[in-house]
Amino acid sequence: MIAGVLFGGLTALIILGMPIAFALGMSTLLAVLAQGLPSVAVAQKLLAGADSFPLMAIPFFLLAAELMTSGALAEVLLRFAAMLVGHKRGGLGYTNILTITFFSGISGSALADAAGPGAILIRMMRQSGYPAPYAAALTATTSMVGPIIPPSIIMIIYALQDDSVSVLDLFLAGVIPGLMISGSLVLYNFWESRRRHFRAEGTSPTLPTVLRQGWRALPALMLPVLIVGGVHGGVFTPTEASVAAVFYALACGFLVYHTLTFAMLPAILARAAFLSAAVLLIVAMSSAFAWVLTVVQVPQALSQWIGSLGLPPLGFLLAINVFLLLFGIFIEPLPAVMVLAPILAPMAASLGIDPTHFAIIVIVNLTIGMITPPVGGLLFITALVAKVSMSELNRELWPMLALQIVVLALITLVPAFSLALPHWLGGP
Amino acid sequence: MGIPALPATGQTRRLHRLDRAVLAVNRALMIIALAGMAVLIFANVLLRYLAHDGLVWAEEVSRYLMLWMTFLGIGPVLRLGGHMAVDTLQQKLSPGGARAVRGIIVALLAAFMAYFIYLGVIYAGRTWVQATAITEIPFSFVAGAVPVGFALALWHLCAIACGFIAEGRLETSADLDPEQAASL
Repeated sequence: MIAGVLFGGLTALIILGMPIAFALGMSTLLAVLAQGLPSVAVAQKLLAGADSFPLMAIPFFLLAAELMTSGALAEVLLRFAAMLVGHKRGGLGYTNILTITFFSGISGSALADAAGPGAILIRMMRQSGYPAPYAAALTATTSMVGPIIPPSIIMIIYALQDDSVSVLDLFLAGVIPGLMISGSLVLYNFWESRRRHFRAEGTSPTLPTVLRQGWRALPALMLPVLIVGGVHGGVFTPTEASVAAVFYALACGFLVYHTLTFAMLPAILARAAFLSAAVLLIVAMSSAFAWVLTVVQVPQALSQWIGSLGLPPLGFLLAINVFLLLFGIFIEPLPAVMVLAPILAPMAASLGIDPTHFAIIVIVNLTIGMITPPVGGLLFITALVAKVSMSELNRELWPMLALQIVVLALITLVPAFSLALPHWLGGP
Repeated sequence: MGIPALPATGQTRRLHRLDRAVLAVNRALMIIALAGMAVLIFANVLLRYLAHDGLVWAEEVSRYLMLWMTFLGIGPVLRLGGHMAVDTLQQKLSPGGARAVRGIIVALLAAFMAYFIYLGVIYAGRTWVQATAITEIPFSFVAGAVPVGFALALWHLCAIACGFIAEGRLETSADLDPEQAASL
């Protein structure tokens, strides 16, 4: 009954067009009043939900990515990737995939990828005669790797919601699935370049060029290694790693590339602060929402129900995948993880599914929702930059989207893709 | 910023200037909070490795700075359309219908914010006797972020309400790209 008020209120408010953070808050308040709980507790839960040291990694990673982008790092990575693969047939397509994959090691979100290097690459591809819808679809799909290759904001939030996984394990577990997404697109670009006779740009680089450009790109390429290596080696916690990334980005911008000035800092800080506030408000509101869910024992009831069905783990995973794909069409990954992880993770655990493997399935799945028409967040921005209509974009998108579903199926069926790296590096 | 020119009566012009000042202070406080958090945590890591000593209060203070940044941000982010929403319904409706829907959204938001100012004041009042773990200041200084944040949010909501209800118009600024906020 109270669960009906919660979910019914949430759905109605979201359809009305209420910002999701407030839709979560309002439906929580409604359920609390209907249940006769003290409403001051909602204010307390709101505060407690955002009062967390691990959560602080989010503003810091956002700030690091802003500093790196303003510091022209996206362009350095782009030039390096273009030199490596630009001379092949369909070279700019490969450059696109490679640049965004590199950049994902700096940014923790898909939109940072699409809006940063993605926008530059779409313009370059259009000027070189690639079909604009192809460029837009490829950029949107490649940007999916942003939250899958570490660092990742979604993974930090997932680890907060499910105690049985660690941020470090999730970061490590995301590396191979992220590369699988990029790899599948490389294969697709190879096939399409042959079929449609895309051009090559420039000539193959000489060894001195490779070394020179590689040296220049090295500071940017090292960042993910520093973050994951530092956390794994016990040098610092994920939050401290994220603040180290901020000062590393500052050092790169001021000392290595000379692209940052002190006058730029207030605007960069403001952008990161605004974006962080938007994210953290959703986290705060969803934690109040999740608190009411637990009070009325929704996760427990659902776990029992799933248990009573006697599904085999694989059947459960397939059912969850279909459910999440449908759910992800309408809801962005961030609120989805906040609301669903506390419900789904215990169900998976009760069936003996590895929690880290399950987290990767959920995250990859919800990220696919960002490129699923009609409301995929990534599609809007790439269509806008490429100046193509949604229907033109969608025609190019379907094969790439289908490929990602195949990748998701592989990740679901073969736990080793997610678990090999955390196990090999001896996670706790 | 995309602010339409207002009729040049003294009253509205003063109000407009006050609004700009509120926004500027609000934004500056958010910048200070984020910069403060980063410097504190980084200094703490450096001290731990260089001086084998840390600032015990750094973690707690930076967590509270983050809370303040979050709640201070509700209003400014709202002005720029940075709270993600699904506007499919408004696009499907006639202009009049869309105006009505936006009117309902603004009314609900205003009521919600007002109620949370009230809840926040009660909560902050109750936590006056409760000290924080390390710095031992009254927790009210932290809980105060809720009523202050929602009061500022209500102010910023009023600043955009007319343009938003009439034409779905929000402000634009280099501080935030709504598309980016929508897809983290």
